[in-house]
Amino acid sequence: MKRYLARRLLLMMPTFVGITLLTFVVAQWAPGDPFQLDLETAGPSQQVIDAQRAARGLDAPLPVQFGRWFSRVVRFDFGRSFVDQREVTQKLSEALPRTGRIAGLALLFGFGLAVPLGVQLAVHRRRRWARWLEFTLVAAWSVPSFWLAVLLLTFFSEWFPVQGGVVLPVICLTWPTLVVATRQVRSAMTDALGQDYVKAARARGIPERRVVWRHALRNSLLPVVTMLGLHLPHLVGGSVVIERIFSIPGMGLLAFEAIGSRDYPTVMGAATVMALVTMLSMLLVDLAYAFIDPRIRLEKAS
Amino acid sequence: MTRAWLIAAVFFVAGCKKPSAPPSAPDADWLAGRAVTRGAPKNGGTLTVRLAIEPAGLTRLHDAFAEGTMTRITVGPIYQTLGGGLSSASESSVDHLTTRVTLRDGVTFHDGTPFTSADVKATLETILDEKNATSVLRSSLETLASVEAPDGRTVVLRWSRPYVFAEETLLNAVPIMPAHALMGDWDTLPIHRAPIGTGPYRFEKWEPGVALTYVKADARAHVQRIVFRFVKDETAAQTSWERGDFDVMTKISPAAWRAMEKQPWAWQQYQPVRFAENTYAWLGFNQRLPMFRDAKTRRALALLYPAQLVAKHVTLELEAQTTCPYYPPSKSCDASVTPLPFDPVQAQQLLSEAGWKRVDGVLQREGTKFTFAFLVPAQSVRMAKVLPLYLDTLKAAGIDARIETVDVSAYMSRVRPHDFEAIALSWASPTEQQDNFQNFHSSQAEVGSNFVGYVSPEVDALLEKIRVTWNVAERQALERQVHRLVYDEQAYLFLTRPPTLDAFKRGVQNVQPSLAWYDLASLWVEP
Repeated sequence: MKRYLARRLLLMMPTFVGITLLTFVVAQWAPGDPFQLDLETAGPSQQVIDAQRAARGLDAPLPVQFGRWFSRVVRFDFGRSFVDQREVTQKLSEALPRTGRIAGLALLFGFGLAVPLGVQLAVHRRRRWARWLEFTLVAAWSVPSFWLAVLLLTFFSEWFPVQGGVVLPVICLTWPTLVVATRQVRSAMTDALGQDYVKAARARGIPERRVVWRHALRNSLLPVVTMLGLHLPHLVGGSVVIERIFSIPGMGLLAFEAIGSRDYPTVMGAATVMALVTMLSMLLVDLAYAFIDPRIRLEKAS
Repeated sequence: MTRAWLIAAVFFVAGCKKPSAPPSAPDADWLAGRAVTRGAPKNGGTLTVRLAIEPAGLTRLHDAFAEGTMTRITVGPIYQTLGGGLSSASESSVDHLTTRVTLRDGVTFHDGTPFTSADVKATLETILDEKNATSVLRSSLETLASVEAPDGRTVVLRWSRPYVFAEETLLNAVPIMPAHALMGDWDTLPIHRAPIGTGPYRFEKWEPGVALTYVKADARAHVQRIVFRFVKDETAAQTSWERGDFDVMTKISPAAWRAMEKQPWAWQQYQPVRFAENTYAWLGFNQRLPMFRDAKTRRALALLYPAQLVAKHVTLELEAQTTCPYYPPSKSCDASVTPLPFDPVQAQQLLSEAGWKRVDGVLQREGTKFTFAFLVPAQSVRMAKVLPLYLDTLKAAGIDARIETVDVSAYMSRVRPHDFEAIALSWASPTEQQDNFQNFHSSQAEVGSNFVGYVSPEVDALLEKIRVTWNVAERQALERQVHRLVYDEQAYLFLTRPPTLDAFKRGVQNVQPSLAWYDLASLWVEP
């Protein structure tokens, strides 16, 4: 187990370099220049723009720029934003908790409600209400969250704050997770309930409640854990649409606006944090597999 | 009898409850967007202003912040300029090579340090320092050779050559900052995030992405606190506005402005304010390309622009058509210049005079087809609506034009190296006085803002003379000639002057629009 963990962590390094290199290249290849100012006034001349580029080391060859940047990143120094001259680390540390708070609550509610709901739907799958609920979930799945956001804003802005509130954005973010996760749990549970070991458990006289919540559920959790793992990066990635509509200056908006203004240091800072969290959550998922299903032996699997 | 009493009682109660009943319909002032002031100044209260964009920084000296409209608006109440309250007198020598400014006594910065000539010297030297990213202001002050402070109340400026707009910039566009706050690495000075000035409001706090708060510095201001709230999303801003969260709603779209007239909440709670800032939108054709080189073709392109259709469907009759690169209410514009009408017949005639012939429905000249693309920034909602209307009339005239949309940051890197056929842009100036040298002088066609490559020896000579003409009336006479020439030769296809469309809560009094937005210190709030 320890050896496996060490190897996985070591493997993360080249992956990390690869991801950051790719982000760096893509950002540089995108047309545009960070030093083009307001469109409405004449702005600085080309010489001035060149001087600013030189002052920030943007005139060096790309490999040199990447080298410089990477040597700072390993010390967690992303430099200063081209837009407002603030430390990127400072900007990230302001945005991260905001996104983390709403995404974390959404994850908690989404999966917390999806598991019991999915189990109930699987157990009572032949009942009429379960079928209706099933149908409603499919319909709900196709509601885009930005539209839901506008609806909530229009009808519930009387009771909840529009700017900087938590309730409405959390509902918007919980929605898709809840719908997808419930369907996932339901189908995995339906499969599990038809398995021989469930019949065997029932035959041995184990109470139905125990059969469902212990034996069947534990076996149907694997795909749910995978999904949970895939959702973890949302904790730091944020949602541009939701953050914009509810005026939450989180990671999604930060990265989006930085890309728009070609604020390379901020783009790279945000991308690095997201890459790290994505890789860590994948590792967590693999570890969770072993915990849930003892048949999976990490030493062999790797 | 009982019923009559009941009705009377209802009226009585209703009358008592609302001593000043809200208007039942919008009046003439309301519809025209004119704020009317009632009552006497009162102190206290908070003013919440919606901003659609967050300023990048709060010093207008820094290049990255200098040009942003939002920075201009938000730093307004913090700083003062020499011409805006910090000097008691300024006189120029006869040769216009020396300016002596006498400073006001008894002025202190918000942090308590007294204001002296050393602060003026430090601010100007910061701008002049080549190491600093202050090039936007530096280029306006390129003729400033030295700054001396012979005593605490006097500043002497020496100019390398006479240039009338440099003095204007010095007096009215340079916010004076305390010398002690300008020491250190310019890019990372704390003053960019926490400004210190001498204005009627002082900085309180800035929550990035959320809000910026100022607090009244002294008796010059009435309202205790000003909170700028950053609400970028249109829908969210509209919802908050309807809820009454904002005392000042800014950047109202023409459609929302027109919709207000039908919404009781809007005319009961808000007073819309509409005024013309010094800004105009234009279309530019790259005159380095043979197809746009002759003025006849450019006039034909103007005759094909469906201004009325655009006014009806896009700008909703809210914007004045313009022909002038100066501020129209000033005498710098020639009032006898009238906009070219929409006239496809006359356009056809001009095009054939210019040598264009129709072949298979498309105009051709010397074997090349009349086909080009408008380069448009992706974020420009207005151009996305205006250009398709124009494209239709061009197509009918045999001109095959398309729209090429690019990202905003990519836009200017195409425009500066002149890598375009046609562009859509607008110019804005926070002052009435403006030097059009950068925009129309032929020397600016390679490196300056003469992006379209307009070349006219006559206009060149006028623009050069304007820069050394101190007599305002004489200067305006020259500017009127420039106006006529650039319009006759269609240096730009001048479009409209988009007005500022804002709304103030009914209780906000003494709303004074100016070219630099509003004077926030003059406002007061009725409780």
